Amino acid sequence: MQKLTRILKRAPKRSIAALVLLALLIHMLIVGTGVIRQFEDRRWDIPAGVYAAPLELYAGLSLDASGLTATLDQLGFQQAVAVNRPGQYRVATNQVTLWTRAFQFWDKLESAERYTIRFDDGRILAIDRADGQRSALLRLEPMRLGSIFATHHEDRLLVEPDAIPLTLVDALKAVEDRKFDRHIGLDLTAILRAAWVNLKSGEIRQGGSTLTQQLVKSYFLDGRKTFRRKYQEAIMAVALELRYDKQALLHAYVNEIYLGQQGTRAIHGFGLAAEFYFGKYLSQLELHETALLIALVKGPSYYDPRRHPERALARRNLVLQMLAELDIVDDEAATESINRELGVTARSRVGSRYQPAYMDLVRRELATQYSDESIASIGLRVFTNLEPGVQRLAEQQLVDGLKRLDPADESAAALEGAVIVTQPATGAVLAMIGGRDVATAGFNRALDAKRPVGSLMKPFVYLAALESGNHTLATSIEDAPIDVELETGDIWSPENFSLESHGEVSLLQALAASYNQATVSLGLATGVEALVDILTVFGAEGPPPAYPSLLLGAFELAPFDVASLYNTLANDGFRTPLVAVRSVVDTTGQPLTRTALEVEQVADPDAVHQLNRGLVEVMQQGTGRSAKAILPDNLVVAGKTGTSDEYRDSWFAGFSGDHVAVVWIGRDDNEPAGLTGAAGALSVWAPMLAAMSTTGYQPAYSEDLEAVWIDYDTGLRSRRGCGNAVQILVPAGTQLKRQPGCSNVFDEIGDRVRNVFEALTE
Amino acid sequence: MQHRRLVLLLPLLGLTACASVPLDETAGEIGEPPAEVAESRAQTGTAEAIRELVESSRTSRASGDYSQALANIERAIRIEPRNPYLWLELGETHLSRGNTQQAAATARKAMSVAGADRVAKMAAEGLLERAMGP
Repeated sequence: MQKLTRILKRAPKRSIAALVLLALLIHMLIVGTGVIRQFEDRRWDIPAGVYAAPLELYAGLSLDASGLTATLDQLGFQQAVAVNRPGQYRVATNQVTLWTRAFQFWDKLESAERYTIRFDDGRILAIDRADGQRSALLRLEPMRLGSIFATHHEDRLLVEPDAIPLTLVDALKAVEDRKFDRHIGLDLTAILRAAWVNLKSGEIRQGGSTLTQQLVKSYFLDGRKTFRRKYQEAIMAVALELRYDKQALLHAYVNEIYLGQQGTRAIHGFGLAAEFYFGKYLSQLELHETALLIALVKGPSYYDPRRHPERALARRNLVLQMLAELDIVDDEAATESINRELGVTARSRVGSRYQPAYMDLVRRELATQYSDESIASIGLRVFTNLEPGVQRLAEQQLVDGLKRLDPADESAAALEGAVIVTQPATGAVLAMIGGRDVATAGFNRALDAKRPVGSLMKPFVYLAALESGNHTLATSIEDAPIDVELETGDIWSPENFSLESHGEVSLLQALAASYNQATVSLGLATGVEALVDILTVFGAEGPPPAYPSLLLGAFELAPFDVASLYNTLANDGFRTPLVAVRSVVDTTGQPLTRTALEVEQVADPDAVHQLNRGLVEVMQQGTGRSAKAILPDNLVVAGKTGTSDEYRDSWFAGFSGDHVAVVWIGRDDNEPAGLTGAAGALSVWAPMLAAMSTTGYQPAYSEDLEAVWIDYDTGLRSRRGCGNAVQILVPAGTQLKRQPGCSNVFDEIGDRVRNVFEALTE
Repeated sequence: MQHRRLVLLLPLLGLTACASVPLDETAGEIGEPPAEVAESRAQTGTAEAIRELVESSRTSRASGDYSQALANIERAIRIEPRNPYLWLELGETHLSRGNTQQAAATARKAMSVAGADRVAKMAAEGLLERAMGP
């Protein structure tokens, strides 16, 4: 120390100054490089862009003009009096004219073309190109769902430079940093003014920050207002200005700035903020909405429009006045906007473009093939199977259903839910919802809430029995108290839901009415191992050990896994993996990976068809019958209710001809939800299916099966209209005993003739 | 063997026809379909769209661009998943690129949706035989 003082004393004053300056410069360089690295990291990150499934238009498709224009509006097409350029459409009676925008799909480039689409009776009649050529198929560009950032669990809706509205740019500069285009990161007069204010008050109160400084601040997420911090910020701002042009900085700012908070979720960037506050794309915002977002820059929490609407309104109107004074907007528009309400949406929004649960699935699928880094930075374009219409319906029904079942205030509501919808033949995941707050990233119950499936297991018990060849749905079985000795030596005596036993019943009734005792007795006769085998080939994780309690669904699965099992039932016993990602291409449109449609037969289709007939009966007079009042009369659906012990989990899994849907309702803390599968999950499932454009379940004809009428209770052969006669499928040639009083004389003659004939041809 | 017997029996079984399994009316046609099937398809109108996709798929397959061939046929299957002829096309593509396992699995899938369409059924049996090899 003494030595140093001596050296300093001896050194000329000028060299000391030079030394200090050098030290300062080195410090600046270090700080500057740090911020530039940070900026580079983010700037060159082109996150994966994720797209929904495109709408395919063709003659015969069930779609009317308003359905088409709703989709076009979502894609950002403009309605116009005359269609003069791509991105416009015009509506006339039973006819829509549109000019598509060119879009590079995973398989080919669809060029921009003008089409006229004619409708008739709720269907597309014809699609004609402008040159008069008939077009068989028109694939619209897909909706963009958002981007995937791999690192830091941030969710953002990135706005590309050319998608930033000019008004936003001008307004931002006007309100936050008028000298932005001229300064080099610092606005000296603003700093002096702020310094004066701060000096007077003795603490830092006023910022005087340029947009560049604000950007720096948000990179380092440090709210401390110390002089040292300010000094660093200033250096960093200058460093960024020296290195990058204004446009790059502004682009970063628009995507980076902090604009709100929801729980632990920080809302960064104008793209996500537009979504968060208004449920819109940034480009769709009206002036009063843009002004509110700009108002929030100053203090997202203080001016939170949901918590402090009067503050937010005052600040927004101040912004609008400023914009009018600076001639960025004309007075008339400003006045009109000042008179508008804030217009922010409620928290739980439906029909949002942002689907965090589905994006989560996409991210997980991508992670099996791509590194985090490439997902986040090399500009992949990801095409998914999400169908916006189905997703919207599912959100609507889950949110409405939970509100109905749990009318408590949103913050107090304990009931949660998850939904998955798939296409049976392809395994395409069309929609997924991970919780009641459909637009917020968080615990994804559809994928991660593993819960006991209860009676959802039963169909697989019956499938094992049907596949064994020893049973049909007409077989009669004993529903009676049963004692099962477990490995532990304990005795297990399952009860029925009603606490009553029903005696001799048909397999059909036992399945439809979900009798526990009959099911356990059937499962033990067939062997629990047979059930485990089915679960294994169907792809259930585990596989579970062959304990008798498995027969009644003492096995935990996530809704997604349940959907996978039921998808195989709906798909005639063919297993196809459930997938969200259809194809991934690079920035130039070159395909990198595509998910091939692969099937594997894991069950006898005839046995599956027999079983599914039983699942149809569940909906007719079994535990799912309450859905009949909600579903269209002619829509045949199949499904099964599930309720776990003490009403903790309420399940419904089922399918029509085109859709498999699984709904789970329960509580995160695993306390009883107090709902059966029918009272809870089915009350969401049924209106969802009713609102979808879907066709009824119908098994393909098989010559190895025949349809017969049996009595629902006894399983004896009956005839149509006699007592409680129900039609089922049985292996061709199955001989069934007749129900007294319900036999058909013609049937008997037919049988006799057939017997004679078979004897002759044998 | 067994279906020949059933064909013979059909008129007689007509007596008990109230119990007939509903046929899958939507089973479609590509290539050389029975005339009546083609007609019913034309009514629903999707035939043209499907035909276009199948033709592109075949062109791609012929030129060895299997990825494109699969993309086209899968697009068609998404529109009409219960059309056995589309699964047959998919299976043929798998077979062309040497994926006999998927070709066989797809042939079985075609069979399961073929329903009463014997042309489709026989084609599926043929594909399955070729996929399983000698």
